[in-house]
Amino acid sequence: MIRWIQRKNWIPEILLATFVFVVFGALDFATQGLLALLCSLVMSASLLFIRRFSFLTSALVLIFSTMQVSFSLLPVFALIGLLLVAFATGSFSQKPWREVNYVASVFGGLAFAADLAFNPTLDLAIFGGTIELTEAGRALTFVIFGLLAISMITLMWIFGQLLISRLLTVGSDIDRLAYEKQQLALSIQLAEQSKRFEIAGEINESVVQRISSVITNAEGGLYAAKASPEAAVRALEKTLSSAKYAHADLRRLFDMINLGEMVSSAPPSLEDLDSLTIAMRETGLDVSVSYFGARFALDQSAELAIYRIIFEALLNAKRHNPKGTKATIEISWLENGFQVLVKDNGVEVERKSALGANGMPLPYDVEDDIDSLLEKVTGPGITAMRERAESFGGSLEVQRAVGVGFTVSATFPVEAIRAAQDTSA
Amino acid sequence: MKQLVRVALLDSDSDVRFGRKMIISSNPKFEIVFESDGLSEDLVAVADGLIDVLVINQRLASGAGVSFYQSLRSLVGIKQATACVLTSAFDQPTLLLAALEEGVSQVVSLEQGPEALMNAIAAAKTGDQALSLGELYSLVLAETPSRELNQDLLRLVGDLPQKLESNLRRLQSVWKKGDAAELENFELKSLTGLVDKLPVKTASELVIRLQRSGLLDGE
Repeated sequence: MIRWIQRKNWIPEILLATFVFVVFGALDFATQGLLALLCSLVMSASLLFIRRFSFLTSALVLIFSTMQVSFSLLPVFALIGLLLVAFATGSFSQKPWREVNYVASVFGGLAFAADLAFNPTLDLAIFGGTIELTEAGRALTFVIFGLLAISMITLMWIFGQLLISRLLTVGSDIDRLAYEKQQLALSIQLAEQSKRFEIAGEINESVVQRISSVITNAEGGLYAAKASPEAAVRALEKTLSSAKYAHADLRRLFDMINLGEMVSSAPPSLEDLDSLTIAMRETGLDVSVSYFGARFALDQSAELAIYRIIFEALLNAKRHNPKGTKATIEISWLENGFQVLVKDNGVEVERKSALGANGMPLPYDVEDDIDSLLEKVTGPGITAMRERAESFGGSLEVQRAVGVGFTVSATFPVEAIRAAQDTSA
Repeated sequence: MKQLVRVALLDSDSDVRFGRKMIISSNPKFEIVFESDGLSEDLVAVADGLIDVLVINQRLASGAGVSFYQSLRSLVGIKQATACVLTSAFDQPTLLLAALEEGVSQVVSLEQGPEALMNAIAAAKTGDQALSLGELYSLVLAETPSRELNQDLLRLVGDLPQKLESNLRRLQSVWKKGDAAELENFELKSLTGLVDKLPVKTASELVIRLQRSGLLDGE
């Protein structure tokens, strides 16, 4: 239903206003006559402009309140419409009219309280007699009914906002996509962390072994020195050699730990690119994938790094380009290597949306050409992608295609990324 | 003249082996007669009965040292397997319990130093126990090994002669009470008869296997 309301421009408002007018207008006409019916008509009309021309809602609510007081009417049934105005305003009005209409509704509620408490001509005969109030009683009535009206209107306004937020976002496609995107990023991070943990574990084991060697050789040297100084020298040499290896291992461990975040659930692979492109497409970046060449199996770590490069490149394309940008992923298995190209047309889309003085899209000139040749595209994201490529003996270039967009190109030598057991190609 | 203790040294790291060799060789009572990085093929070499004590590291070329000793026991038989000293980088109660359960005589870590290694080799040769009953009790309680009914052991325990049965009852009584002084004073050597009769290599192994089968705490 919420989707239907969002899609239709006037029909929901007309239906709501008609309903209010028919139900409350009839009741008001039956109890207080034509003037009350007129008030109901104004109240109902205010509901027509909740989403468009919202200032009219405020104006009509104020007119309704003034009419009610001016005509010395009893509180009309159409006052319930004020609650509907507050609710619908909270749900559908845009800023600042959401707040302005709320204030107008509160004003209407206070006018109702004032009408009830202070209007000297108020005739309560219709309910079987006239209520006589002292000044203090009138003031108390105004305060009580005023607070009651404000509370109810505020509640309805907040409820309207909460309901629309819940219907539109909680558990919606937008939420799901955001969640999936987060999951993808987390699975990559987790995979990287466990890989790093695995490597750190291996290095640690190696260090333990080296240190064990250092200790046993030092101890052996001490024992042997008593009998044979030559044996002690050999033990010292072994000790020194083991200590150097241990130091080198510790250095590797240090580098590994300080590399940053990293991986051991099933890491994402190139097979998961289709899911990635769907997720990206649904969040606004139109992505397509093409594959070229005879495939060979990739080392799991290398495949993870390649996937991560593609993921980062797409995120960059999405982050820095306007809506409507398209990106293409080209994956090529070459004879001596492997190449990934991620291209986007963000610059082209931006140019087309920005019109020049002649009303035509802005052209690009020689300076743009020179800039694209000289410009060195940098940034932490690109540095991270480059490091990933280099860790597998590859390289990464980012270039601006004049008037079109950016191209990320990562190339890898085949021997560094081919799976050890792969014998194909 | 006292006979030399013939030692086989197995460790995947040749440098560590070199150091251990120097330490062990510095004791004139010990003689290293075999050394290797612990490949599966070494099982045959160390099973020929010419070795008195096996010094194996937990890290071997063929895998874990305890598994290597398990294979040796399967190959030559529990009683015939050479006494074993297991070495490791650190003191690890879990490893200690697993090794003792597999009949390893002594477990020495690098942290304990070279004297401990030499003492362990000597103790393995003479059949001394690595831990007292009190220490075993604490270890088993701390590590809480899961129950594992050993039908063979249960059957053999059921057929024990009266004298050995009373030995077992005494052990059960001390274990159930859990009194630290009584546990400490209990002589594991008094279980030699039981060790000879049952399919275990050492008294420590016997205690752990009885406990695992629920025969010590009466469950």
